[in-house]
Amino acid sequence: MARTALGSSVASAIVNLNVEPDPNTWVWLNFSNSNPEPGALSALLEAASRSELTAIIGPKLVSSANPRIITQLGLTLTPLGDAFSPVSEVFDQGQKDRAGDVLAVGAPGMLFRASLLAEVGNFDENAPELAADIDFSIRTRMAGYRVAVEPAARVSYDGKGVELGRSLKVERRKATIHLRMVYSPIWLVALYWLTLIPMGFLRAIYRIAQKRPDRIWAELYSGFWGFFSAPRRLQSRRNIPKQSKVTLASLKPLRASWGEVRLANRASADRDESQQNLAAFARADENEAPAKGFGESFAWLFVILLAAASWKLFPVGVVTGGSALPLSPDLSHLFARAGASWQPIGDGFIAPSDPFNWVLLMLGSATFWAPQLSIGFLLFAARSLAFAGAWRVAGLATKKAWVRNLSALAYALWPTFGVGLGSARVPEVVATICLPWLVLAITRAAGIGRFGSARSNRQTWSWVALAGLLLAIEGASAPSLLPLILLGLAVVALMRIRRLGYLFWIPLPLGAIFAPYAYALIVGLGQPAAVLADSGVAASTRIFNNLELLIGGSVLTVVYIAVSLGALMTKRWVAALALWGFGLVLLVGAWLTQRLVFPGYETKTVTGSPLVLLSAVALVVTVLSAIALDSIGKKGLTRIVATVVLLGGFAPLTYLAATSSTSFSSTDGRVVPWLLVSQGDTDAQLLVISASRNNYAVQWLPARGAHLEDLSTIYRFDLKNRVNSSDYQRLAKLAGNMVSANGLDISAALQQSNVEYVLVPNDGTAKVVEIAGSLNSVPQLESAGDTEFGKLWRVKSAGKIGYTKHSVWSVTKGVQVAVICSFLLLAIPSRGRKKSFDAEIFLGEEESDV
Amino acid sequence: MFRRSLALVVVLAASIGFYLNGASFEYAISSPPSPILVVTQAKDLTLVCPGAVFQAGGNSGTSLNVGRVGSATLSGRFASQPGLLLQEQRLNGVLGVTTGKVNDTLTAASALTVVDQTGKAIQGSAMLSGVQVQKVAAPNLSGLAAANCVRPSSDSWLVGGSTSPGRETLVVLSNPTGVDSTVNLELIGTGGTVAAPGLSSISVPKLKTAVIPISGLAPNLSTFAVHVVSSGGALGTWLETRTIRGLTPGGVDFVGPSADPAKSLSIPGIFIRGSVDAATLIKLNDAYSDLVPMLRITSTSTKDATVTAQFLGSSAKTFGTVVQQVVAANSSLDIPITGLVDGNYVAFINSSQPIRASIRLSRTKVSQTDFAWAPAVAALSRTVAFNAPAGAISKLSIANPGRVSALVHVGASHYTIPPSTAITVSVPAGAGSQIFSNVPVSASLVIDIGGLISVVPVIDYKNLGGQLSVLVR
Repeated sequence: MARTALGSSVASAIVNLNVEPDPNTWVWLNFSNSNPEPGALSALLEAASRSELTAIIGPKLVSSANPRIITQLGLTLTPLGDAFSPVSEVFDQGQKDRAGDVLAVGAPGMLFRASLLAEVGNFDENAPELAADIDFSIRTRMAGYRVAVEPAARVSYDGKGVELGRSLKVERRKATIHLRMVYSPIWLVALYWLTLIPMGFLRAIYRIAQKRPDRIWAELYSGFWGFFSAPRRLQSRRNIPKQSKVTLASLKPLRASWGEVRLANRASADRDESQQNLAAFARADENEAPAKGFGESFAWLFVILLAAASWKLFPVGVVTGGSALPLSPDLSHLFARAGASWQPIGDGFIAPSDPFNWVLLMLGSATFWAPQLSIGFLLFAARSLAFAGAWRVAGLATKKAWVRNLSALAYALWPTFGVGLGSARVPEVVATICLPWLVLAITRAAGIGRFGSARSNRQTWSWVALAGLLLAIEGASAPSLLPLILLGLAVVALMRIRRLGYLFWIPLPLGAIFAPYAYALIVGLGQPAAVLADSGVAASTRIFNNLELLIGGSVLTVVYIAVSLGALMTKRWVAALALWGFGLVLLVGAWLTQRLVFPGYETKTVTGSPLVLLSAVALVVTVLSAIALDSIGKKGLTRIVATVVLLGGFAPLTYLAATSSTSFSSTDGRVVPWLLVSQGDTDAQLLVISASRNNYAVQWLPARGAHLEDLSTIYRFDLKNRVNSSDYQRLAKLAGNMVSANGLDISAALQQSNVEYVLVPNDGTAKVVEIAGSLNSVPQLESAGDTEFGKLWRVKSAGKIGYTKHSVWSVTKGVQVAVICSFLLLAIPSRGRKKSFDAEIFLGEEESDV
Repeated sequence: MFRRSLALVVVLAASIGFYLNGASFEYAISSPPSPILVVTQAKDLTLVCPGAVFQAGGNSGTSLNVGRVGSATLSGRFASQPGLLLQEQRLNGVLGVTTGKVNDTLTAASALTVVDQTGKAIQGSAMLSGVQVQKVAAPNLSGLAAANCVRPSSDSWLVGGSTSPGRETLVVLSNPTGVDSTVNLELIGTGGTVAAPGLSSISVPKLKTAVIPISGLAPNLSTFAVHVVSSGGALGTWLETRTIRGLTPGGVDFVGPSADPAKSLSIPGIFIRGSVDAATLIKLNDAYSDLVPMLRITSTSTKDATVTAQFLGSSAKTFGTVVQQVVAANSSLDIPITGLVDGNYVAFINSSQPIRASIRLSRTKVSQTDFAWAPAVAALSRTVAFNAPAGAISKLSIANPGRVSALVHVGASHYTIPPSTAITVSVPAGAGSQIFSNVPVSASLVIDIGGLISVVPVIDYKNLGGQLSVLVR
């Protein structure tokens, strides 16, 4: 019963006192950690003598560490019924020195008439810690007495009671629930009791949106506590004075208004911010003058320029080919494929989908009216977005606008990024875009950086959530980079060990979406290294030789690399050396990655893609260039170096970006002929038969075809086991009989495999002609014509194939959605209230802060 | 400054170390799925032979009918085994299966089928093969026409023919199946697909042969290839092409289905004889100008094809020649090959895009002329049988398109063919034989009867089936 110690301990102390219930006898409550100043009691008694109706008088509680700080001066309730201390952590300048009526006063230093014990009863033993004194005061009020504070009486006190406005989240919420259940009409109490648990969850979500994840536990725990301890609350209702004509509602003037609550919250946030500023000041991080913003630096000009250089990527349809498949045109399909749920390819199975599917869902949601278009837009805007991110990362090293612009351009124009864009390698492109933003978010959350950091805990939580989401995107898009990112995060956490409480949460969304997938690969399939497999379509990139790896795939980067070597000769050479070291580790990672050989899908095997690791190297070069260029002091030299970098680095890289070819095309986004598109929602399967030199390849797909989100790495790795199953053996036999056209009856096999259509992609080879000739003579098939996807046949005798509706949910997916939504809520900045309180002189700084 | 310089040196040294690192390895994470091996019964092997040549317009050339002239001699080979049964079906519209004969006289088209009740026999030309030969000497139709009996197909390409004045091309479509067939023809000319009426929805009834005169549908077309696409029953397809100069017949030949398109082709069997007589005739009369050998290339690629054809002679006197041309996407092109003296040649063709090719060559003996279309021949990868017709001089031209010498077995004899060369082997008349090589080679049989010529490729026949490797995913 430690948590209700106040109510029970005060009650038992009073009982032990055995005072006479005399109206002229006063009881003064003091605790071992309260220290009344001289004259406090006389001031209280003088206040008591002013009115016969005054039954409780509270002192001004001050901090024992600093007696000029008022920690409490009376208590009340907010309009929502929360316990509320109107005066908290206020510097005492005499501004609060007016005695007056309050709804309640805290137990420490409380002076009350002994007769109250007979009239309203003792302190409630059932009341939670923060509710006991308020409850006692309210009963006193309801008995018709006054409750007042006397500021002239000062008591220094360091107990929990004064922390109402600061911490004690669980106690505070329990106090609210207790008071609600004790003083509300009984029917309202019943309703309130029923909604306590769901309300706890809703309030937890609200707390996340408020960037107060520290209160989630309090909301959930208190909800359950209130629900299961209802009998004790109902028992406490008996303490309400029977003859009372005063209701809680009639005491409304004594309760805090919304305005007061807002002001108190604002003051609390300001205190938090000033603490952050002090901490930043202590780290000597605070900059002497703010850097120029994105607009002021004319960085937007480069955004436009990069968009122009990406003219070949301008979306004129749905990106198909290269390393991309169209996304499903239906957002609900994207959602169905994300997380652990039913996977329709092959014979269908339940397994965790690729974590990258969450990224696809996010991309598709960006163009929710036509999710398929999102990839085209992404490719087109990729260089601009990467530039914007790198520009902000460069800001960690310099505040000179021209340096940020020039060095960030290197990242956006890096040749290996162009390789990914040209072949529509969506995961690599997403990872490259997000990488600088992730670095920025982690540094903000960790409070690293020369020019400003998160200005309050709430902002820090926003950065933590953003970093968490970006890490999840990065990990899902580029698993090969993940070990090095986690290593980097660990180093940051060690550097800022005090921030561990924040940084600890960053990997949570990644864990939520990656862990089930990794578990299935590691434990389910026994292939731990498979987690390093690239996301998306399994397609090899070309193998870069050592020199190409060093120079980012093209000799045109040499100027930038030379400049970044120059960073070693600056004052910040230690940081530069560390960055170079990390860059070389990334290079070795890239070198190793392209030596990994994974099972393929279209091709037999694929090698690991080093593109994202090379993008990370590009980001290192960007920061190193920024360090080097930032250190140039002389104006004349600045002009020369800037000209050299512009003409020798930026110009040729822009030319390369604008002229490099693309290997994808724009289509209407279908992956199967129209006839099959209209058959979408059935269990009907499509067999796609193609022939290579020695093999026939049979794809077993739902009739609507396979979109990008239907790909499954787990399926790819598990296929070697699956092909031994009877279903796959039967299908192989079926395909063999079809291409042989040997006249055997294949009706049963077609029906068992739910095959309703057969498609032979027309690649113009003789084998295709031969297969087509065979299928033409299979009596169970009828030609459905030549389509742009190849020759199509329909199974003649196919009866109506039903539709099994598979749930798009699973417990794992529920958890994943909850974590992602929580982090999204937490990441969305809540700046509206903040701005109205900002002085205008700070507004210019906003841009450079983010 | 020393420490900074040291840092620079360290970074440079590490980078150079990275560059010089020569380690090379691959680490396989898991293994790709193995294809499933399935044993399926193949469809019974059927070969269909075109029968006697057709004569459009009758002897007078004015009749509206297209009729057959004379009869063709079928020379074939059937490797009889227990459980195999050879059946024959004459394509006269009436179902009537008889015991098959591989040496026969054909008037109508005829289909030979090996019925394999167990489905386990290995199909191929070694099991069943046949070639038909007909020497014709009608008033407006003369020459030697030889054709392979072919496996019915629903999609085939015929590269050859002309419909210029005095030149006639018929498409012969034989349906050996019990299902009617509907055919669409596509002509790829010098400018791409030729639009002409009557090329689509051509009906070929079951067990019958249809003859479509290209000359009537698309006259004055000197260069084209015909694409035959059928739905329903699969067809045997040929072009029958003839030449008349004034009132003098100038030759006749069958053109069989072309090999698959490829970037490297070889055309064996280019035997040039009577080139001096031909030159004399050309000088006298321009109508003989098509006695010059001519290479026809058809590209169905979407990109222009740069084609280099190398004609190699078999002796020091026959140097051969090299031609290079660009063939526009989806078009056919004729390239005259001038300057070839009498001798045996082979053509090796390389192209930037997959193409089909064949060569028209002529045989001139004083004023008698005949021509033959020698097609590009797919390289043979296993033992293949061929038949030398009785009463004819037959020579086997074997080309080795590879980069290593080929050890070739023809019957009981062995020959070594150096890379990128060809040899000629005489084959006794009326004998069937087999050819096998350790590396893929191409071969054609050049048939000569009384100074008239025909060239038939040595091909393999196989229906899909047997052990297939299927990758399910």
